[in-house]
Amino acid sequence: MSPKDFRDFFLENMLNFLWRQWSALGVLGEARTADPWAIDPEPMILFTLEMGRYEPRLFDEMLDWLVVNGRWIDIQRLRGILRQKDPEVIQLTGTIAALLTQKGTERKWQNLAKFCKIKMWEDSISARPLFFDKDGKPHPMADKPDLSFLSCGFNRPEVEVRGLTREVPITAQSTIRFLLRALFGVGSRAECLVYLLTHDGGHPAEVAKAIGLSIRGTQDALIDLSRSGLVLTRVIGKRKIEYWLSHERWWEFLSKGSVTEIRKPIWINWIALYSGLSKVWAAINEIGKEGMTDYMRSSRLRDSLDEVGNEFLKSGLDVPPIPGRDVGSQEYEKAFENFIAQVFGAK
Amino acid sequence: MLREEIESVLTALGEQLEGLAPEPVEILVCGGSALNLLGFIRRATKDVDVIAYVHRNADGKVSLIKADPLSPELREAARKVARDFNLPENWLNAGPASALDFGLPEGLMERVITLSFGKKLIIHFLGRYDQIHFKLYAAVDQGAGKHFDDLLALQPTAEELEKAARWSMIHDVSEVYKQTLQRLLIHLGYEDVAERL
Repeated sequence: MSPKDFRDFFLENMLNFLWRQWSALGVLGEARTADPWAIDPEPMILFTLEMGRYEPRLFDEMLDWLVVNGRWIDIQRLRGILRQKDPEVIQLTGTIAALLTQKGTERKWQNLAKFCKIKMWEDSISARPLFFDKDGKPHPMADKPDLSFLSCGFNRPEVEVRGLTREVPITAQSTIRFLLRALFGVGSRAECLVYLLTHDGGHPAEVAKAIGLSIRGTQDALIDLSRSGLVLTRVIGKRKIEYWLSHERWWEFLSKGSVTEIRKPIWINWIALYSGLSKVWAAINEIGKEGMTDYMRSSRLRDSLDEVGNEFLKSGLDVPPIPGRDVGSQEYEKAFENFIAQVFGAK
Repeated sequence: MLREEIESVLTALGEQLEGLAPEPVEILVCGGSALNLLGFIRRATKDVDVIAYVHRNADGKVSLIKADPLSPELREAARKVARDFNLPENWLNAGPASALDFGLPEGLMERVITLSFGKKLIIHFLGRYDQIHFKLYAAVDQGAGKHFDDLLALQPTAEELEKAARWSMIHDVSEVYKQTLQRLLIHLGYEDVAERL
């Protein structure tokens, strides 16, 4: 496979994957997903901001979803994840936050826009196209650009929010986060519970790292939750307090039925995983450049895929193993393709 | 690793360094990999032994700097190559770097065979004469085995062995070492050299 074909293959898989995830949240009408994991909207938004630049329709459907379902978004968490991102993603996040401030009534978008410290563009001439063709060629400049985007340095046609997105279908499976946010409010409590419902237990630092919130905030939330008597504590080792809950009791309640009937969602650290996929995408774009040898192409892919593969490995999902040390550099691209197709490809 | 694989691995190391090292890395290498690559032997070897960094000042004057520890960029490049070629983690190591403490054979840098692996990696492989020095020392230290076989493959002359023996005795001044060295030389058929020590 040529570097270009390889790039196309990855992009197509990622876009299909994102369409599938957003559809499960109500984009373009509700679609049930067979994916066994709990969807995580905050890192997914940021990854869609990157990849959606190659699929304007997906980008705009996400904006539509945010207008309809934006109340579910945890801004504090989004800010935490944003800290790891490059300036372009932060600028783009600030841009859509400013747009959502105009479209909606929630102050939280204004706060996010402020956090992003959007760089305002004085002149429209130096703005760059927001969207690209799938082969990476920038879209031509729009004659009637969207002024919100233009003021932030991005040229794109006017945003048309149609509000066709449906409400998030709330289930105890892939949209368990939304169910818990509905019950406990958007914030650290709901996020801690997603973690505890998908793990045997966890101490505050471990939970905080996984959910992308501060240790202090997570610890406070866990302490508050434990006051209910439904989140329990136990001492592990010398002084480490671990929080846990009775899966049977909680799942029976959350699934509104017998615990034996529900398929519990799988936890995946999407913050780490989407960040890993961003790195894979950056690596793929780099290896497409002329002058890179076959060996360096496969080595760069290994660098980036190690992170992605490790996250899937930790999830316990039945996925093909990431190509390991036994796979020579000549066979690596093929093994990489198989991994991507099987993990992210449409089911 | 045989010769072809050593070449591939060192080429890969050079390519990795292009993205990691700001300046070209120049190293001095001895051991089985060097002998393989230069065609003196043909046996599998599992590592590449680095003695020193070769530093050139503005006037082109060469100085050798002990390679232990390996620099962070060289270690990182080696780690990636180990992963990509399924090699042991320490395939590139500074095991023989301590040889620099007591001095290397005189004029060594005039006899090295220099190869470039891309723009960022230059390797100076010890020449045959200096390899005899290192292999004799290792063979005395470790007895019969790969070093002894390598020494035989280098077909040293009596004069070369005597010089190598005298050099090795600077590195280990013990009487036990001297006796073992003499026994080895006798075993090789060089009683006269052994007697002269």
